[in-house]
Amino acid sequence: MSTALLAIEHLTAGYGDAVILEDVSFALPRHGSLALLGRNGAGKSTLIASVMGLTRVRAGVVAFDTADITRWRPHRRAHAGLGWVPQEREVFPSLSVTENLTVIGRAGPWTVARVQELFPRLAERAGNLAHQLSGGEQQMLAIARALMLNPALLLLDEPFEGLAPLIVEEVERAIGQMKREGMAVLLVEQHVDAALRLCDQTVVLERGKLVHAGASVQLREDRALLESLVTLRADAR
Amino acid sequence: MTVALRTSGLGKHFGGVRAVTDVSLALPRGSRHAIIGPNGAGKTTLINLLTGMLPPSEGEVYLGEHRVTRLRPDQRVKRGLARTFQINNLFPDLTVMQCMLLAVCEQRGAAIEPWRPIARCSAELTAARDVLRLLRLDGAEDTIVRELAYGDQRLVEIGLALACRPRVLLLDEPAAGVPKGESQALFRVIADLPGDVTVLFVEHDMDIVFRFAQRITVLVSGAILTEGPPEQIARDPMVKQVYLGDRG
Repeated sequence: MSTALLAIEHLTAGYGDAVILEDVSFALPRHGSLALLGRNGAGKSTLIASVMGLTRVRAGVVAFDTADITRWRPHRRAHAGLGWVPQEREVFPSLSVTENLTVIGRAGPWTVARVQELFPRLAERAGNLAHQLSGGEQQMLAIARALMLNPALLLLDEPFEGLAPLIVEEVERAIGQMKREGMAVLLVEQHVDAALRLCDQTVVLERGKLVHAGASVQLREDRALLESLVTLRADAR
Repeated sequence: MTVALRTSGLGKHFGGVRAVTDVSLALPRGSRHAIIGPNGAGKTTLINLLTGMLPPSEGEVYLGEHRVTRLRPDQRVKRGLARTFQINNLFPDLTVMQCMLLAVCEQRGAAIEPWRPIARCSAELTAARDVLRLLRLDGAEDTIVRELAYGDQRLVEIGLALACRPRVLLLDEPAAGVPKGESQALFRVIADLPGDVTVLFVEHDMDIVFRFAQRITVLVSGAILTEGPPEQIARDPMVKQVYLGDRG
């Protein structure tokens, strides 16, 4: 068993009869950060869902903090220290902003006061029900809720989506702060330059298979390689 | 100048919360107009007022010459006002082609003939395939929508609006969840729509906004802060302070 914080070993997984990921292996060191890149439909969100126990694993192992969690239920994974910001936010619509934050809160450096400092808008809307928030506000709440879990590893699936540019800057700063405080980060993000800037390691998926793994600096400095892997015009963010 | 969409003193409050206040817009026919603003500024509420998803507390909405303030959303669609949603609003268990056909048949009035075999709907099939080809989804005709990647589901969402053959197209964060390169391609499709189709879009990707919008309205706390061409908005110190930040 690997000593990495998260180890994906020969993972083949999907939904029902559909196999999305095939024989994917990589490791994320303790306190490390990893960007998961790939074209639309490459299997990035499926990989995150597999880490959270939301797919049908046909082969391989998901190991977290030396434990084999492949067959664990999602809530047990959350208790073990996995935080997740899903792409579709999935905040609790009938709970207030404060209730969304406190219902899963665990002791640690991230508190209600601190996430409200990161997102002042959530303090202004503390008493509103989550379904009354705008899309961007729900995105802030989804990130804040995951932080309240004080996870050892935070899985972020397109965290900047729907956020105003000023708030994107704030979230980028916050992710940097999380890393400095020792939280490991696995980031799926369409904004390639932001992902490469924020994460030390990068994994690229193509049609469910791993086609590249290495230091992010390599892709930052080799645009031809980057574009051959993701065929994206990396943006200016 | 022929105005395709106009609002006059449009407002919406929820109890004591004023989500949209005194918004007056006029979009010339064929224009590409962006609405930007901080999260919670009222952008989606404004779209909901334009489409009739929400009744306004005050003010009017005009589609061309006609006041549509009291019309239901489906009646506005019939008059040429189509929209997409910020979060996908699709039929997850249908195939991509079935979704598209539903929209095309509804737009053409063929939806009232439920027993007519699809194979005999050749005009509708052609129209649906044209939309899918436009969005480069023609290889996904038989794919169940929920099995599509999120970005492709966004494209289906936009395809449904296009299938309504809109005169005014409202897009609420159309690029959300779409890979960067594909979102540029998506906006090129939108930019290449017939010149008489008016497009109003909400978007946080400033690269896209400044590239594709001819005019931009900045909404802050439900009210219009300023409006102008992209180069003017990009330089506006107030807009930088409240929305764009350093990288604007």
